[in-house]
Amino acid sequence: MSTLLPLLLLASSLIPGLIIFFLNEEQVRLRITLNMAGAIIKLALVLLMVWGVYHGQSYEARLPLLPGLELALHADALALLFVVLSSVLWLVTTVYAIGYLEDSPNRSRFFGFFSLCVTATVGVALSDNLITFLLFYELLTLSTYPLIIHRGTEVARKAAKVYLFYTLVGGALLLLATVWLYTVAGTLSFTPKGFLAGIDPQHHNVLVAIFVLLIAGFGVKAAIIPLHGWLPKAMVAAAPVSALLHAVAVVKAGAFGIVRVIHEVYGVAFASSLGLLMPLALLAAATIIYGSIRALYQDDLKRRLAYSTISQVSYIILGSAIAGPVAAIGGIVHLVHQGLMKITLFFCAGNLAETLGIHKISEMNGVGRRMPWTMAAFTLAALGMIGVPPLAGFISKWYLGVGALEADQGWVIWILMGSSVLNAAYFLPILHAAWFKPPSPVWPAERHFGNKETAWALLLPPLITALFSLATGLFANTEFSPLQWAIFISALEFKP
Amino acid sequence: MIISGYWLTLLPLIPLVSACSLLMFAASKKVRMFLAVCSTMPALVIALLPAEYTSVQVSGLLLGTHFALNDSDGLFLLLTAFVWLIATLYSRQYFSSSQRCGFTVLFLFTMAGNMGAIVADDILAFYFFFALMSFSAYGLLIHNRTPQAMRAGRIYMIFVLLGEVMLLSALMLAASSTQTSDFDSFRNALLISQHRDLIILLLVMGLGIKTGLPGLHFTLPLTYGTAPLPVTLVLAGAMVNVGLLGWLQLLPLGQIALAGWSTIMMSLGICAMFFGVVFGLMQRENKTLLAYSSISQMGIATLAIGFALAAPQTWPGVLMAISIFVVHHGLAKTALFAGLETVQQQRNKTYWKYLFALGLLLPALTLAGAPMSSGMLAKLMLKNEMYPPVVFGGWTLNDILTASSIATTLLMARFVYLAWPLFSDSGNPERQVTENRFYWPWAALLIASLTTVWFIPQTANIDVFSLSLWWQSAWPILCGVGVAYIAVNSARTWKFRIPQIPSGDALILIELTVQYLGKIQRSSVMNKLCTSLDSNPVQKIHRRIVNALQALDLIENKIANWAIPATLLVLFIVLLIGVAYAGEL
Repeated sequence: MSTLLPLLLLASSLIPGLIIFFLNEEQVRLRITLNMAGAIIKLALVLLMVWGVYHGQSYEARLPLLPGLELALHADALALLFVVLSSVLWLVTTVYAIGYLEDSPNRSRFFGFFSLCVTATVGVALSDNLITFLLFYELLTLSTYPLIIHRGTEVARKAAKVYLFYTLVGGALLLLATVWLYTVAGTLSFTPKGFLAGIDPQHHNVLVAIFVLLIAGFGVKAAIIPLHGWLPKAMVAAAPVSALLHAVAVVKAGAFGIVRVIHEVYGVAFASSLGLLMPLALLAAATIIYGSIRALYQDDLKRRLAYSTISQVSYIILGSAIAGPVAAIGGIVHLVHQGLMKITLFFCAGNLAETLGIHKISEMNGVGRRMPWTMAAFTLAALGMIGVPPLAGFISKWYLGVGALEADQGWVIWILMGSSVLNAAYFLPILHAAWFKPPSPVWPAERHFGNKETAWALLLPPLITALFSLATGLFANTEFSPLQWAIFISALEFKP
Repeated sequence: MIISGYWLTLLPLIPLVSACSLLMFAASKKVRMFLAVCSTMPALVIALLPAEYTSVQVSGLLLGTHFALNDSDGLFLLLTAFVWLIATLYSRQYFSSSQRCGFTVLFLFTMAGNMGAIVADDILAFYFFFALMSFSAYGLLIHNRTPQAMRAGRIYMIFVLLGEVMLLSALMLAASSTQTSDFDSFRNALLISQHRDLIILLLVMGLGIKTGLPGLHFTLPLTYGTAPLPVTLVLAGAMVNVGLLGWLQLLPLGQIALAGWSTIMMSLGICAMFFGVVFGLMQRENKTLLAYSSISQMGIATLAIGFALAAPQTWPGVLMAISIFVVHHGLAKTALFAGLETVQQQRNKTYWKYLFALGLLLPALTLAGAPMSSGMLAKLMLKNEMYPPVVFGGWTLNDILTASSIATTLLMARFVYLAWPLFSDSGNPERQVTENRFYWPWAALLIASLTTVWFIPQTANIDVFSLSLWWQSAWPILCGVGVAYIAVNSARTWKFRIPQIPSGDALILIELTVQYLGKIQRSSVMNKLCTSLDSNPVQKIHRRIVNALQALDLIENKIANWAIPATLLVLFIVLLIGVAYAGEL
C-alpha cells in the first residue's frame, strides 16, 4: 500500500483523463461521471494518505529512470500540503468546469487535458527529486497549453503561444540547471535542510549560477517580474482554466518549485550563506509592489485579478527568501491561502461573465443586488487578499511580517503594508461599486436561471472556497489547519 | 460572584449570528428589529450584573484569542450597549424591507465589532473586531447616498485603511519579540522592544484616527454631519471610544514613565481641546459643530492619558476618571444628537417646545460641566487624579481644564444659538417636518445622562452638594455665557459674522489650494499653451502617472511577448555552449 498509494493518486486523474479523450461529445453523463469519480477518488486517497502519514506511515514509489537517477514519488510534509490543496481545489473546479462549459464544443478534449493537468500537478507535488519534479513540471506545461488555446480565438492562440514560449524556455533552463547540479552534487533527492551544504567551497560560484538558473526557470511559472508577461495574457482562457492556472496548478507549481529549491536543495541556511536569498527577497518585494500597481489600472476584471496573482504569489517566495522560521511559515501557508482566495475570485469573475456578460469592473455597478451570493464570496476573498482579519490572507501576512522582523528584515513590513494599501485600492472600489452603487437597468448579456442568481454548479464552488478561506483564517489555531501544517513543515527545516 | 468569561464571547457572537442569519433568510422588519435589540442585550446584562468575569482563552480562533472584562471595560461596555440599544430603536425606519437587509446586516456587524473590541483581551482579537467595526461602518455612513455622504465615506475609508495599516504594523513590531498575544505580554514586549518609540507612534496615530487626534480628525466632522441619526449616535457615543480603549489597553500605561511621550500626548490633547472649539464655533451646521466638540472632548481624555504616561503610579485613578469621563461624554453627546434630530422634526406650536428646548439645554450644560451634572464630576475626578499638578507652558492642568470648560461653554452657546430658529415657526421653511412622535429613546438618553451623576459619587467620594464645588464648576460657565452674550451683541452692533469653515477644515484647505492653483493656471498665459491638457494640476499629475503606467502596458506588451523569453533562450544557449566547452576542457 505504501508504494501503491502515490501511484494510485496519479492514476485517479490520469486514467479518467485518458478515457475522456476517446469519448464522444454527446456522452455527457459518462464524462461527468468519470470526472467526478476521478476527483472524488483522488480526494479520498489523499485523505487516506494524510491519515496514514499522521500515524507514522511513509508513502514512497520509486522507478529506475537512468543509472543513478530514479523517478521517485514521496509523500513528505510539504508534498502533502500541496496535494491536499490541489485535490480539494480540483474537485470544486471540476464541478465548476462542468457547469461552466455546458453546451460548449470540444468538451472531451478540454476535460482530457484538464485531468492530465491535475495529474501533472500531483506529480509535481509528490516528486522526491529534482528530475522527477522537472518531468511533471514539463508535463504540466504541455497539458495546460491546450486549455489556454481551447476557445481557439485569435487572442487565445496568441496568449497560448506566448505561454508556451515562456514556459518551454523556462523548462529548458531548469533542465540545464538540473543536469549541472547533478554533475556537481551527484544527487538530486530533496532533503530537509538541503543536500548542498557539504560541497567543496570551490564549487560555490557554480552553485550560485545554478541557483539563478533554477529561480529563472521556476520564476517563469511563478510570474516573478520580469518573467510574468504570459500571465495577464493567459487570462483570456475560460474561468475554470484561470482557476487552474492561478490557484491550483501552474503558478503554484512555480512557487512550490522555488520553495523546494530553497528548503530542500540548498537549505535555507546554506542559501543565505551564499548570499542568494536577499536578492531574491528584493525581487519578490518588487514583484509584490509592481503587480499591485499594475492591477490598480486594469478595468478588465480578470486582468486585474491576474496582476493581483503576480503580486500575491510572490508572498510565498518572499516568505522563503526571508530565511527565518516564522516567515517561512507565512510563505508556505500562503501557498494554500492564496489558492483558496484567488480561486474564489476567478470563480466569481466567471459567474459574472457567464450569467450577466460582465467582464469589466466598470460594468459591475450594483451587481451585488443581482448576484448577492457570488458577490458575497467575492467580498470575502477580496477582503482576505487585502489582509483583513479573520480571513486567510491576514494569517499569512501576520506570519510574514512578524517573521521578517524576527529575522531582522524590518523593511519587509513596509512592503506588506504598501501591498495591503494597494490591494485595498484595487479591491475596495470593486466592492463599493457592486454593493453600494445603483444597479444598471440592463446587463451586457444576461441569462436567467429561474429564481436562482445563477446555476448551482457555478455558485456552489465559489461559496465553498470562500468559506474555506474564512475558516482557514478563523480557525488557524486548530489542529488540522493549513497553518499548523505549515508550522510543522517549517520546523523540519529550521529545527536545530 | 465570579462568572465564566466564556459568556463574554456572546457579546460579539450574537450580533454576528443574527447578521449571518439575516443574510441567509428573508426577515420581516419586526424580526430584524427583534434580532437587533436582542443583540444588544447580552452586553447590557453583562455590564449591569455586579459580577467578575474570569479571563478566558479561546485557543482555536485566529492564533489563540483571549477575552476578559475588567472594571474600566465594564463602564465602556455599559455605555456602548446602551447607545447601541438606543440607536437600534432609532434605526427602525432604516430596517424597512425596501432597503433589503443591507443596513441591518452592516449595523449588526458594526455592533459585533464594537462589542468584541471591548471584551477582547489580545491584540489579534482586538484588531479583528476593530477592523470589523471600521469596515462595516462604511456602509452605514453612506446610507443616504448623498454626494456629501459619499465623499465623507470615501475619506473615512482612506483614513480607516491608514489606521489599520499603522495599527497592524505596531502590533507586528511588538509581537515579533513575544510568543503570546494577550495585552499584558504585548505591553511587556513593547517596553523591551528596540522599536519602542516607533510602535508607540504608530499606536498613537493609528488609533488617533478614531479618537479625532488633531491632524487626523477629518473623518469625525465629515461623517457625523452626513450619517443617518442612529449611525451618528453610535459613532459619537460608542465607536469613537474604541480608539481610546485601544490606547488604554495597548500603551504601557502604569508601567514605566515615558516623559517624552507624555509631553507629546498632553500637547496633542490640549491642542485638540481648543482647536476643536475654535473650529466648532465656525460651523453653521449643528451636527458638525457637535463633531468638533467631540474632538475637543476626546482631547481631554488624551490629556489625561498623556499625564499618566509620565506618572505611572497615578494610573489606576486616572483610568477610572477617564472611564467615567467617557460615559459622561457619550451620554451627553448622544442626547444632544438625538434631541437635535427630534426637534428638527417638530412643528413646535405646542407647549412641548419649551420642554424640548430644555432637553437640548441640559445636556449642553452637562457637557460644559455645570453644577450637579456628570460633567462637573468627571472633570473634578480628572483634576483630583491628575496629581501632583503638572505645569504646562506656565499653566497647571487644572487651569487648562477650567479654560476648556469656558471654551466648551462658548461652543455650547453657539450650539444653542444655531438651534434657536428650530423653535420658532419662522425657522427654516424648507425643513422637513415629519411630526415624528418617537420621543422616548431621546428621553431615555436624557435621563441616563442627567442621572449618571448620582451613580458615581459612591465610587468617587465626592460631596456633590458642597457649595465650593458648585462655585468651582459654575464660574467658568457663567464666564463662557458672558463672553457669548457679549460676542452676540457686539456682532449685531458691528455686523460681524463668524467666519465659516467647512466641515473637514484642513482637508478643505488642501482642496481649496488645489482649486486656487487651478484658477491661477486657468488665468495665466500658460493656459493657451496647455489648452489640450486638463486645467486641474492634480488631474494633470494624475494623468501623467496614468500615462506612464499606460506606457508600461505598451512596454509589457512589446517585450512580454517575445523579448524576455527570447533573452532567456539566448542565455540558455550561451550557457549550454559554455558548459559543453568547459566539459571539453
